[in-house]
Amino acid sequence: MYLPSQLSWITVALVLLVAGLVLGNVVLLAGAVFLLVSALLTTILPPPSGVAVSRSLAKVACWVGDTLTVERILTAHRGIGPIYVHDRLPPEVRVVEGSNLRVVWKWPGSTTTDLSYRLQFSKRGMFSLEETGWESRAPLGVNRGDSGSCGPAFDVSVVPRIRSITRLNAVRAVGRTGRYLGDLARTGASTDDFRELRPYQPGDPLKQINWKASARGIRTDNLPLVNEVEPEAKKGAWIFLDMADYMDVGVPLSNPLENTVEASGTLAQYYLAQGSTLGAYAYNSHGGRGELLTPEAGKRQFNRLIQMLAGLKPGPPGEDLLQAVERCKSFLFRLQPHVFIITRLDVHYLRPGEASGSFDRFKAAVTRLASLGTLSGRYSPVRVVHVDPQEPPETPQGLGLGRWETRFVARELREAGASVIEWEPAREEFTSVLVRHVEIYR
Amino acid sequence: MLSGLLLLAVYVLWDMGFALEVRVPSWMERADGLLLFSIPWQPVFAVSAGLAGYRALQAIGRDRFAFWLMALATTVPHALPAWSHNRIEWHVLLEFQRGLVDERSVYGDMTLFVVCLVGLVALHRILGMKGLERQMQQRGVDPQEKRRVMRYEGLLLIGLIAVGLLVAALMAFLAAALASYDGLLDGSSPTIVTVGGGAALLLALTLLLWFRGLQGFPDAAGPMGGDRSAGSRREPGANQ
Repeated sequence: MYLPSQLSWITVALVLLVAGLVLGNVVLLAGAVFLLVSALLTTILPPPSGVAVSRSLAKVACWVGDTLTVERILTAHRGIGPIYVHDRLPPEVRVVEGSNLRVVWKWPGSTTTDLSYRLQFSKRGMFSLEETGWESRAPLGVNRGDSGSCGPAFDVSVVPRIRSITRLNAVRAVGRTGRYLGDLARTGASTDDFRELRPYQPGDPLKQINWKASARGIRTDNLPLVNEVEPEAKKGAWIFLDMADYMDVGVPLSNPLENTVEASGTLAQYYLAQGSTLGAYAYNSHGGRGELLTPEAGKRQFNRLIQMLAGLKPGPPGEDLLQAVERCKSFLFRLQPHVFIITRLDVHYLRPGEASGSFDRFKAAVTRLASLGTLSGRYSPVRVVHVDPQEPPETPQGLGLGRWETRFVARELREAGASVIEWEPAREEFTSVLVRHVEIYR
Repeated sequence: MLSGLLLLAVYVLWDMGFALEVRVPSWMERADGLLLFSIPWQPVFAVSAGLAGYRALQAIGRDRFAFWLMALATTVPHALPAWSHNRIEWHVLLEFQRGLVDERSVYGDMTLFVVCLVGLVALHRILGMKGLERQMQQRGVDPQEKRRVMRYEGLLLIGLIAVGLLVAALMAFLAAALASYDGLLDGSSPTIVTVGGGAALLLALTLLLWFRGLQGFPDAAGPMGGDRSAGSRREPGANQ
């Protein structure tokens, strides 16, 4: 639609024209001519049309914190005036280079402009990038234009970043102490997965003798070769993730919530690489009910965990650890795993005037989990990982109140039979913490 | 811009005062005596009052009304000089004008009137550009791109005024050329009909294009924050 003011100008010109003709007045006629020429020019200048925006993404899956380049090419064929090109982005996405909103001025003739920009995903999840919207408008304030949207909508999957565990594997002490490796399930059913050929030992079943291999390779001791198969499972591990909204504090790229996800991914990567069975439970997540990952082994389990981690959102702290343990107890009794609880300890500190029920239940859950190790007859402590919230830079250095509260809670938990791992993500990677934790027990 | 237009209006009024021959009652003569003392400050008073009124109307959210009121305030003083160049003397027939004491230059008055209109058109567009700049700022447009759009809009405005003045000057030149036939056509109906006819043709062309523009963009949405879904469409070949 045209602005009413343009119609007003035409009306004024018409009045001057009629008055000039009726009065025979050249002055009024000259004014009418000027206004009419102005109105005519603004009318005949068309807004940009024939607009198309092509958009492409290099990849539709990335890690948290990765940057993606969105390539946009604008082409317009006719008209004069500004063209607005806009990509509506989810709030979790940050533009790190260029801009998702661009304004291009178009003169007569075809024009092609590169409007690429780079964006960064600061959170896990599945994000939708809607179609690119564009608006063109006529110059000189005429409210006439066109608009549309181009390009396909993209669904970008952002998965949590998992640190490499190479350094942890390199620690020979891990294998020796058996804190994180070993605990092979020597008994129990065997799988069909072939592991190696080895000389026959007394007690091996005769059906395991590989006659062909034994016939080909004549050993000096004349012992036949038997097929060694993988045991059904090695030790189990279980991760409890606290997804309460008090974990979602600080900067988006590195806050206790994202650090919890990173830590659980690292632990899962390590245990599954060793052939362990892994289960996980995220309590206090969005929606009220926790997210359960049923225990399994293998690489697919890691993918399942990553999928679960990618969809986790913080929720109100409506479910405590004791309830989570109750919900998972059937798995825990069957698996008798090493248990990791990843949370913030300072939020469990009992402040004066607060009911003591909350922390007591947390401690009861830890005690119950620790008793699993006693039942299995091996030393298998519950490991509570405290993710330290990063304090703003203006906070004075030294032992703050939060740190003091953390230590108090940690001491209580140690007395309840847990092993507490304090992790400051701002200072070191989780792998380093694990390495140090292993070396303490060496 | 508005101050200049107001000053121009004051000048035209002042200049016209020498050409008028009117009878005034005695109380007005006494008031005129008082006003003699403030003559040097009258333009300042007028411009200040105009600006203050304009700002006050803007402050209460009557921007459009404020603009058209100021447009009226700056053009009305041009009415008397323009009236003095009527070739069809209706006022004589109606007997409400005593006459002018001297002749005024038609081209001088025409120039002043057109300059007033140019100022109004420019002022209106500058206000629109300010609004556009504000909207772009609110949407977070890059300052460099914003400046570029403003610069090109300014260039187009200058071009628009230049073309408008050129055509108006051509019309005036045509009128002068017709008047040069030793008074045969000076101020006669054929001059008026020629110039007026040209203006009428321009008006017809403008209205024609205007209506065609209305029919040609049935889905035209507001350029800033209008209903985007109304004009949404998928461009062929854009899916990559």
